[in-house]
Amino acid sequence: MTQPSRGVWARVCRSLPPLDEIDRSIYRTIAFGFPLLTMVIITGAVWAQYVWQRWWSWDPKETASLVTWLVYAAYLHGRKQRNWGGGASAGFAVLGLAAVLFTYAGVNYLQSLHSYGLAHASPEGRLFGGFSGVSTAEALLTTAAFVLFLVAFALSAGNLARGVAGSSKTAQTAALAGLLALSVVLVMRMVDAGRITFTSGYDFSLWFVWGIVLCALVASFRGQGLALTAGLPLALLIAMYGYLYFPHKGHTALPPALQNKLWLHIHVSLAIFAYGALALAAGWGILYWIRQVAERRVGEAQVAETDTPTNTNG
Amino acid sequence: MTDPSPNRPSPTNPEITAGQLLRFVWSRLGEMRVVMVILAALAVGGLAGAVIPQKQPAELYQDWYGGFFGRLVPLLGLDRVFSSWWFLLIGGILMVSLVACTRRLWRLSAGRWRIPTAEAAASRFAEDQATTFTAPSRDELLAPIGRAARRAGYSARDLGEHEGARWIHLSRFRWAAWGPALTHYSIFLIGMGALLGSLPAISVDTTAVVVEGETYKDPDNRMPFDLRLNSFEVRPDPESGGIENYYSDLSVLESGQEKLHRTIRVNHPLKYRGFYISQSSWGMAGAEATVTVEGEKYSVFFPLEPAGENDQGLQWRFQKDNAAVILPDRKTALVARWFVPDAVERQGRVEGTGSGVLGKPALGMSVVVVAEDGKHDIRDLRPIFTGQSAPIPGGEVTFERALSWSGLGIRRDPGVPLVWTGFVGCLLGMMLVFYVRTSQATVRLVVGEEGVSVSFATTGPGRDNEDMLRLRSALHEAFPGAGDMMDNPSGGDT
Repeated sequence: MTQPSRGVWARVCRSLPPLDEIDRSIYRTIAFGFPLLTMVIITGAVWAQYVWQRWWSWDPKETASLVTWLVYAAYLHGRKQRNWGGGASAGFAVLGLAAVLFTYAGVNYLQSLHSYGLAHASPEGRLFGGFSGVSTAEALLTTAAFVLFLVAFALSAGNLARGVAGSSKTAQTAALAGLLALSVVLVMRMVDAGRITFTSGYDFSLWFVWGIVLCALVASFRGQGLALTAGLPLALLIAMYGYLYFPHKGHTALPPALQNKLWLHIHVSLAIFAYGALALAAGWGILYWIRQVAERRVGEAQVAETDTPTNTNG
Repeated sequence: MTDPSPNRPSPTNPEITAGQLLRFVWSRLGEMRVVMVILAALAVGGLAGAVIPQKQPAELYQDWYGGFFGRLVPLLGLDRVFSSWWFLLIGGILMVSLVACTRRLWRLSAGRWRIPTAEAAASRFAEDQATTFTAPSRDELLAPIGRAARRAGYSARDLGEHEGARWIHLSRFRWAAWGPALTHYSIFLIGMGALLGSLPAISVDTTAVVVEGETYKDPDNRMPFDLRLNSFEVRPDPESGGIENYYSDLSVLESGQEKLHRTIRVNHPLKYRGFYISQSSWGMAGAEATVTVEGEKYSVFFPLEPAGENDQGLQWRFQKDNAAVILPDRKTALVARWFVPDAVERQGRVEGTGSGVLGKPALGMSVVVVAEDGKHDIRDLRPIFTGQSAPIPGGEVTFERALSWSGLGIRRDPGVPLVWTGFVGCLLGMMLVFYVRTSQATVRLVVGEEGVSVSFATTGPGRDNEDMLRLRSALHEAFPGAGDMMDNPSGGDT
């Protein structure tokens, strides 16, 4: 008789790449994102020097970025010097993402020069504020983009559960359509504001989602079939955070310190790609753990199956 | 297991000399495990500094974290993490560790960058990882190997003969071998720049709070000039409803003479004699009024302090201890009660516009008159705007003007050029490490009875990367008539 748990886990095992392949994906994604993260910190320092003539102030956001950098630096050193892989890769990828998320959202709750991210947050902490402050077309397109991401994820995850390797063309198409819809939303917001909209918390959440999906799609088209399964859940979580945490989604005036457009644009553009790649690496890390659990369960089930006749006869 | 390291004291020679100790510490500081501990300690310390609000009064920590932890925070220096001895010590250890690592990396990079001699190539040749095939004649092989290498993006160098074999070195982006050393040196430079910028003897980092009309003189005489704030203005942006910018009209004075007149604003600092003066903060200094009582004219000043922010913008209140002025007649006192930086009059009522900036300020005052019998008569005056007067017993009070203060960031950081160089080097180094795929291989040609044995093995990094695979297939394609390749590739990272 087929044991149901063994069936599901065996299918997961069939659809997920081997552990060392996932490990390589984690390393490659971090190796791509880490120099970008370094550039984010450096351009932030150059920007701060222009604005305040102080390239480093130990502001919570700066410090959190440095801590994030240290986490990935530790991993890359371990990888190079001690051949760390597997569990360490997955652990550091997820720990690194936790640091990224703290840098992105956590410091909003601390006294920071970067607390402008809260400009759109509801003072009463009210959630489900809908799409106040934006046009109906933008609201509909944003919703459509997120629904398409959800569909793409459901299709990819469905493949995983059915034991089919990689993402289907339909999932890729849905994710691509969602990315295009989100790109249109971002362009609409820029046209509406008359500038590149990088500065508010809600805007950055949209760009963050855009960065993750773009990285996942590029990886998926380059042959890493499960990149959508790895990246889309995090993109959806960030989208949900942006939607719930910033009920007012319209534009607000830029404070003078943010009017240094050149460095602001370079700094935030790099952050979008760096965070996107590092979030994808964490997604791979979670898939690594799932594969590990699946292998263990399948192994246990096989042992149980082998033991069964003996037990019956005995 | 016994440690053969000569740096350690042996049981027969338990005495440790200072040199031995230094060598021991030096060798340990470059160790991976120690580097990990340093990075983890910096991360934990940095996280504590990010989460715990810094440079707050000790009582506040007790309010926030309770008695025990509230006392622990200042005790452990967690209220000033980034200037605490332990954090600076970790930073210092990291710098020393970087030097220790970089020395090793320098040798490693130089070794990878240098083209080996035939003898060195032979000694490094990994026989067990080599791919070997046979070809008819050695002389006819050199040219096709060079062509195949170039096709795969490699450059080939004939190293000559050694131990009866001909050695050829193939490399791609050899110079990228300097990436790790460059990155580490650059981070060290950034650290040195930061250190230089924090030395009080040569750097200046202060914020001068200057009230309009006043002159700032550096109390430590490190600044060879004075700064006079002629005026300060917060300019609103009517289109966006926000702030367009903050403007400080400044005069640079040397020996009392004006040397430069410039208006600075956020993102547009003034650079003068190696000092940067930037717009850093602002606030309301106070309200200036003139009182005329029985023909005598007195000037009075009521200092303001911030009172938080509400939906009407920034709020200001008069300082409690300085809100009342007793006039020289000893019979009349003026009490400043409220101040609105930008107000309008609607149906006889004065209301704030909510702009949050200094526009049309309004002042609310009371006058206290002490009668002969000692009784007090307190009367609220009608609100007045700048230039307006209100009657008081025996005269009038005129609201002359509201004064702002400007926070001027004054900085001289001689470490910045070092930091900038470090940033450029660090980025360049990282590009070489992560975005440039470097790889090297060695080809050995040995003449045998059945033809020429061609062996191909990778050396150094990039063992299995795409370029190496391309090289492998290019070499294979170059000799279609050759015997089967005997692959014995190694595993490992790219």
